[in-house]
Amino acid sequence: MKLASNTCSTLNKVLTNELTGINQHFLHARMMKNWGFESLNKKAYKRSIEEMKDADDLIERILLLEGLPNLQQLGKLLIGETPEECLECDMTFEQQKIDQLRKAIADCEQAQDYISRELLEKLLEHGEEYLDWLETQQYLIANTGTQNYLQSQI
Amino acid sequence: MYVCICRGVTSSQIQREVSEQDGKSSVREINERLGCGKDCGRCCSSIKQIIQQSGTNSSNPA
Repeated sequence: MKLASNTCSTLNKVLTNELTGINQHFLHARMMKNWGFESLNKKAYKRSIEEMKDADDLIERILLLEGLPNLQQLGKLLIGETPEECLECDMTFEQQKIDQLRKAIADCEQAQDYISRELLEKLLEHGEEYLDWLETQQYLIANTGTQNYLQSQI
Repeated sequence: MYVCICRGVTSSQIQREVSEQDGKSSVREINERLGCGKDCGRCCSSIKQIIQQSGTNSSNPA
């Protein structure tokens, strides 16, 4: 089934961000594990797998629309040197991603591609949930202190 | 944070290098000294940004 070519390009841009996210969250997860922060490792690992599943759905959708999913393109990874910096980098990344998704959803709506819109809405929901978790962590760091926060994440 | 993932070069390393040269380093000089920006080259724009910011800070001492 063929749709407007700009829908495939929009979906491919979102896919690039998802693929970048998979790697960024996976690397952060394993860095956290290496530092001994098991709870932060689990959270970032889960997010990485979630992004992988989201990327899978996007790939299937692009193929259904007779486009070619671009798995070669990857964005810049934002990798922190400390746990707090990792959380900050993830927050910057998620905010950028949410902005891009909102624009992509509007584009799909414009092109009357309601199924792609629904798919992107699910991705946006995942992004917003994770951003909310990141904001909570920032709040905890600010209010309990970095040392206390990190101790609770072992 | 890590600016060059390929060579593991951080923003603080670049800032230190720039301040040692009184904020007069170019992207090429930084790349030569720290080994960053030589593989995928995706970090070059970030390096440029750090040099500009560090240069502005060193020219306006508090």
